[in-house]
Formats: sequence, structure tokens, C-alpha cells
Amino acid sequence: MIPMTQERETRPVLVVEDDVDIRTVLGELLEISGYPVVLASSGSEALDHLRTTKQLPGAILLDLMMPVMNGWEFCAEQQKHAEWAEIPVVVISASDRNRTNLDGIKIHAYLRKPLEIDSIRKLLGDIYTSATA
Amino acid sequence: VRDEFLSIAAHELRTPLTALALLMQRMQVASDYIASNQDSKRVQTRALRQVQRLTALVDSLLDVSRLASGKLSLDLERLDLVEITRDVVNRLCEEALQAKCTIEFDDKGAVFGQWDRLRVEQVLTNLLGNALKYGAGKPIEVQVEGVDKNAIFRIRDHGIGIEPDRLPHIFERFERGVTSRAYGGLGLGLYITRQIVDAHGGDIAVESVPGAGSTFQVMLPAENKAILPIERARMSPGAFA
Repeated sequence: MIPMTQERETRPVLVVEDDVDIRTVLGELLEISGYPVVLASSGSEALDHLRTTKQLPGAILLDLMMPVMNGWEFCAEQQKHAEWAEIPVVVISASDRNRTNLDGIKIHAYLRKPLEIDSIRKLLGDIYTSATA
Repeated sequence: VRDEFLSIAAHELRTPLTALALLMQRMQVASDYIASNQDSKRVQTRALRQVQRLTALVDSLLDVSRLASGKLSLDLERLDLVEITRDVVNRLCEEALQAKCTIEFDDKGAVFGQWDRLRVEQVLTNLLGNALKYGAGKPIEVQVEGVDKNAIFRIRDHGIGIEPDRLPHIFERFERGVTSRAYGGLGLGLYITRQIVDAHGGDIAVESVPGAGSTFQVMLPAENKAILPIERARMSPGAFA
């Protein structure tokens, strides 16, 4: 297990997940790891955040199957906006079929649920490191 | 259909497993940092909720298997439907809070009959659970009344409703009223609900307007005239094929 460290990242990780328990505990684990976190329960809430925030996220962890606005619809909107399209999207999905059914959306990585926090932290570490390199 | 169902079932089972796996990892971190009792209790409550969710999914799969082989049996006893409904409404309080829905229960006094307690609770839980899931955060109305020798209950939501072309199929096995890209679920809840109502000799009906909500009405005869599925399967071969 990778030790939990306080990395003092300033750009938050945007977690977009409809399941309240997964969303909350994932947020807590990322905060413990030193990442500021913004939580959204649907693609629509995530878009609202992107529209109103003064500091864009450094990465987006995105569930695909969600009510109100699903992950595919969110990505389609996100990728229309040049600045938002630069944010790496890591899909977190419980479905194997989604991996081959991304409908042209551009993603940085695909993590299948159940999730290992160590894998997420390693992936985020790489994303944040390459962004500052 | 089987491949599609297995894929959906795997997705549905992985969702609570994901929450449980993350919660266990959270507990591990908490123990490293000597977490407060309140923090531990919160994590345990969430873990328990996900275990209950997994149990319900496995129960649904077992019910479908029982129905297919005609082995769903009823354990009938004299019950008050109002009391059972009140229990189910209370049990779903936290779910209602999360769905931002209020549940208004119109209680017109006791309605007695011969039913299977667990199965009637299951019907109410399925229908109320759907109302919360698809209710778009709007109030849900629950009514129970005795009419002639029948008990009738209605559950009405003001949510997303069901498209007319899907409405005739929603009580069929693996059918869903919504797209799987937006809402989870095995597509078994309403199928199992209808089978339980049928086994009690009752009837279930739905009215729905897309964007305005759905009303499910269940009629259960108060007297024990239950026709068990195993007998019905014998009368109409292939009914559960």
C-alpha cells in the first residue's frame, strides 16, 4: 500500500459519481491523500461547477451511468469547451461493456470498479506531476 | 437477453462492492489515524447499507430463480396492511432524505387481510423504492384503504414517469422503464412485484405520464384465495419460461 501523504495539491479533483457512499468515501480518501476535492452527483452538477469555479480541477474522476446527466453526456459538453477539454478525465465504471462503448468521448484512463485507492492515487500523481513538469 | 442481463447484474453487484471496498480502505486509514467513534460509526453505517443493498440484489436473483421453477410459496397470516405500510415508510426514511423526497402517508385506519408479511413488505419496498428513485425529489403519496373485501394501496410520485411505449412491458422480466445509462437496476423489481401480487390473487396496475410521474395501484383480496405460482404454472405451462 502506498503511504498516505499530504501532497498539498491546490487544484481539486472533481469526483462525479451518483452513488452517495462511493462519492463521499472516495472524496474522504482523496482528501486524506492531500487532494482538495469537489463532489458532484451528476454530469449536470459537474458542468455547473466548471461554469462557476475560479479554479478548474486538475483531474476529473467520472462515473458513466448516472441519472440527470450521464458521463457520456457530460464528456460531450466538457470537450466542446477548449479549457475544460484539457482536464484529464478518468472514467470509473462498474461495467466492462462501457470500456468499448465510449461513443467517441476522450478520456485519460479507465478504471473498473471496485476501485483501489492506491491505483487512483498513483494515476492522479502521474497526472499532477506531468501537468507541473 | 441473457448476456445483457449478466452484464447488468455484474454492474449492479459491483456498485455496492465498490462502496464496500472503499469503505474498508477508509476504515484502514481511520485505524492508522485513531479515528473518532463518530467517524467509525459513520463508515460502519454506510458499509452496512451497502451490505443490505447486496443482500437485496442477491434476493432478487434468487426470487427470479424460485419463480422460474414455481417454488415461490406464501406464508399467510392475518395482518394489518396499514401497519406494514407504516413500517416500510419508516424504514425508507433515510433513502427518502437522500432522494430529497417526502413521503405523505394517508392512513385511513386498519385494513386487515390474510397475506404473507415479508412478500407484502417486498412489494411495498419495491414500489416505494422506485418512487424515490424516479421521483425527481418531489413528494410521494401513499394511500391504503379497504374497499369491499379488498385492500387497495396506491403509490404516486411526480417524477420522470414512463414512456407510453415502455409502459405495457414494465412488469416483464428484465424490462426497465428507463435507459440503463441513467439509472441502475436489474429490471426485476416490478416483475417480482407482479408475481407476488398475482400469487396473493391480487392485481397491479400503473398509470404514468412522462415528466409528470407514475401511480401504481395494488389490489389484494382480504380473504385467503391465494393461488400459488406452482399451481398456476401447472395450469398454464410455460408461464415462467
